[in-house]
Parts: sequence; structure tokens; C-alpha cells
Amino acid sequence: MNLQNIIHQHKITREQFSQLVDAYGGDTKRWPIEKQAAALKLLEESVEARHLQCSASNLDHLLDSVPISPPTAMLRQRILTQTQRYTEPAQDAWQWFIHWLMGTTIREHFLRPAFALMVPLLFGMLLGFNLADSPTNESLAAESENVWVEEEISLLALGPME
Amino acid sequence: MLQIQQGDHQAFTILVDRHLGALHGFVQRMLGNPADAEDIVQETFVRVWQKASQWHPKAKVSTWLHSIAHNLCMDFYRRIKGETVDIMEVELIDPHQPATSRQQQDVALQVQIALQQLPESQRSAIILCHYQEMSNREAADVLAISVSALESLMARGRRKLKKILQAQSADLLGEI
Repeated sequence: MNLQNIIHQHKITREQFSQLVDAYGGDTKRWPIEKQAAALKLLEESVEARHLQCSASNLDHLLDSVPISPPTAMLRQRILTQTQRYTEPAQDAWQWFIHWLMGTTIREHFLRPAFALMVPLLFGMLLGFNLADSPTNESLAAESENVWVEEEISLLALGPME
Repeated sequence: MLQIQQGDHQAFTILVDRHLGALHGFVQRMLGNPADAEDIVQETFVRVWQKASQWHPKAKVSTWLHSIAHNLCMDFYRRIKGETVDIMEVELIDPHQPATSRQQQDVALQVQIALQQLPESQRSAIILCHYQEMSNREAADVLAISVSALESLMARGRRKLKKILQAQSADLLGEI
């Protein structure tokens, strides 16, 4: 006895048929292959089964009424560009910097080099202002000389009292 | 897929062309929002490219793709959980598509809103079996559940859908 015969001989109850259409709907093509033959046989014999199938088909038609929009061409391009980026060999830091400096738009071609020049300029100015506020070398030298003279005087004063 | 595992981008392009439409449809129906759907589909393919080595030759490619997309949809739901979703914001998937009549468009909108009201697991089961035309075994694999659990989800989902649609419009489903 082959599988086809087993499927044909397998009987389905009204309860099982109801569960089948509840889950899979009224379209016989969507029913599991192993239950199709028995369900179709019951469908031929039972008015009640046909009524259940018709009811389930109404919901199927409603589900089919919802349209779907196709994906945009931009989406395909975005996917391919993003994945292509992962295939490229990793750039070293210097290459990355040069790449960044050049930019990709006309605006970036001007703005990024200008920004890159501004950074050391600002750094220099900041350093200059900080040095101007700190004590100069001359004042530091004079201060250290005073300390030395004071130390000499105190050494002479605290010499042996004999 | 084996070529993609070896880093063949040309093979990946063929995979994208073959599955983009179906996957986009699946995610769009899951989320009910084309803009979010595009982001999820993009992320799905990026993951496929990055994690191609994890694909097992026994697994069907479309099933594997759908399971990645499904997981990303679940992550998306978790992220937006707690945010208020205005039912009026659910878009008819392609408002520019020529509808044969205004009434048909209204019916489609009602069905789409009803689908969005289903719990995620029930919606996934119905979309995979009805729209994606997957077999019960394939759909169960995508959702990582048994076939009987899938059938239970579909039956409960369809019953709830009927109830929602009947509440919206008595004549929508005819006699049930």
C-alpha cells in the first residue's frame, strides 16, 4: 500500500475539517498535502463542509484585497552600496583622513580643508594666550636669584657662634 | 549561497534581485508602514551578507531570509512598544495604486487595520501562510515553532480577524 492510498483511505471528521479551514482558509491549494484528499472527499459529500469552506473563502478574498507596493529602486541600491562597503579592504588612518579631507560634495571640498587648516591655527592661538598669562623666564630667574641670596644670608647668620 | 559565503558580491546581487520583492511584501504587511519596512528589509540583507557563514546548506534560503526579517520585525515591535500608535496612521500600502472603486479601497484599508490589530505571532503566521504562500512546515521553521502551534496561531488569528471585521462592518464578511 503506497502513501497515496493511505492518504485516500484516511477519513476526516467534520471537526477536523472545521479545524482545517479555520487555520488554512477555504482555498484547497493551501491545505496540507496529507489532508487534501480526505478533505476534498468530505467536501463533495457534506453540505455543511461546503458552507464552512465558503465562509472561510470570504475572509481569504478580503485578505487578498489588501494591495502591496513594490520596493523602490533606491532600496535595492542602498542595500548593494552598504554591503559593498563591507567588502572593501579596511583603510589605514592616514588614508581615511585623506579620504575624509577631500569630501564627497563640492561644499565638502572647500569646507573640510578649511576646517583642517583652522584647527592648528586655533591651537596655536590658544597656546599663545596661555603662555602670555604664565610668568616669563626673566621673572622666574630673578625670583630664583632672590631665593639664593636669602639662603646665603641665612647660612651666614646661622654659622657657628664661636 | 555558497558563493556568497565566499564573499561573491555578484552572487549576493542575484540573491537580492530574487528575494527583494517577496521579503519587502512580508515586512510591509508585518509593519503596515512602507517607510519602516524599507529600513528593516535593508537591515535584513546587510545581515545576510555579514552572517552568510551561518547559513546551513540544509536550510531553504527563503526560509532563512524570512526568519531574519521576522526577528528584526520583532525587535522593531519591542522598540516601539509603549509608543502610542494612531490607528489612522496605518497607511493603505499603496495609496497611489489605481483602485477599481472607492468602496474596494475602504475594504482594503479596514482589512489592513484589522491585521495590524492582531498579536504579532498570529499576524506572522497568517502572513507567512496566506501572502507568502509558504507551506506549514516552512512557516513553522521561520517562527521556530511546531506545525500544530502554527495551526493554532492561524486559527486564532483568523477568528479574531473575522470578529474585528464584523464589528467594523456587518456586511463586510457576508454570512459567517
